[in-house]
Amino acid sequence: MHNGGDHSDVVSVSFPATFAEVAKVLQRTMVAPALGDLSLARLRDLELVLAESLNNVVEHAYADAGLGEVRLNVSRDAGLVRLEIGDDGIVMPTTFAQGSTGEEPHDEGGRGWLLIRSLCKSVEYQRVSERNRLILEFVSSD
Amino acid sequence: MQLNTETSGQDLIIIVAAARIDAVQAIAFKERFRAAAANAEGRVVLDLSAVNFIDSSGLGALVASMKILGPSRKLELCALQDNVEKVFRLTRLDSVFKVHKTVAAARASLAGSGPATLVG
Repeated sequence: MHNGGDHSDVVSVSFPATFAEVAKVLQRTMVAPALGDLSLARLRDLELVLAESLNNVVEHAYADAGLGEVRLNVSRDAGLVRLEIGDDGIVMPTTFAQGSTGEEPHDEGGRGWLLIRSLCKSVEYQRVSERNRLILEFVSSD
Repeated sequence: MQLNTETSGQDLIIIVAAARIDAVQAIAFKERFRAAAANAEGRVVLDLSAVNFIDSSGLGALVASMKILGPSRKLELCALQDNVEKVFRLTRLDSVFKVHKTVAAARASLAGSGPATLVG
């Protein structure tokens, strides 16, 4: 269980970039004992943030090829759940992580980032040595 | 991904018998929807009461389903769980779909239906 200011790992995993693998990782992460203090509503929001950011890697960084490795680290830190997602895929267009995607409500795509930005306290994207790193902070209490 | 259907006059109610409409299920959902709605002539109401998780791929599948119906037939939703309703609100899709609070409200609006309808 989480203690005040501790910084402790909840989940640290790497897995193949497919939607099916993402679904398994979501399922495992949501029942992690270290997230046991989150309300059901917060867990649902966290699951959505994780789903959007991991599926984004599968779909865009690795261009839906079913190849490549996704790395996920989930940790707790002073009232926050910190998500770090890494991959070796193509660079993310900065407009997606930073600003509005400008999507129309009728479009079939583009909503993932809107949800991530709406539900997270902070969103940070880094491109270092041909690798993508996305760091998300999510408030753990309602 | 199982979809069950009921007819109500000219209108069709499609009940999503699955807890998730997500990236894994989105394509199957679209195909099942296309088959389920093929013979409908009136409105189509999607009963989402069993759904407790929808992501952007699932939302995309619903928008695609709306487009499958074409301009003359409406797709409406009913019985959204709280977190699902929140996802529609955050993505502003609550302004694209007519959303009925309950299955009963959706049925009532179908029963009294003309082309223009009340939000339940």
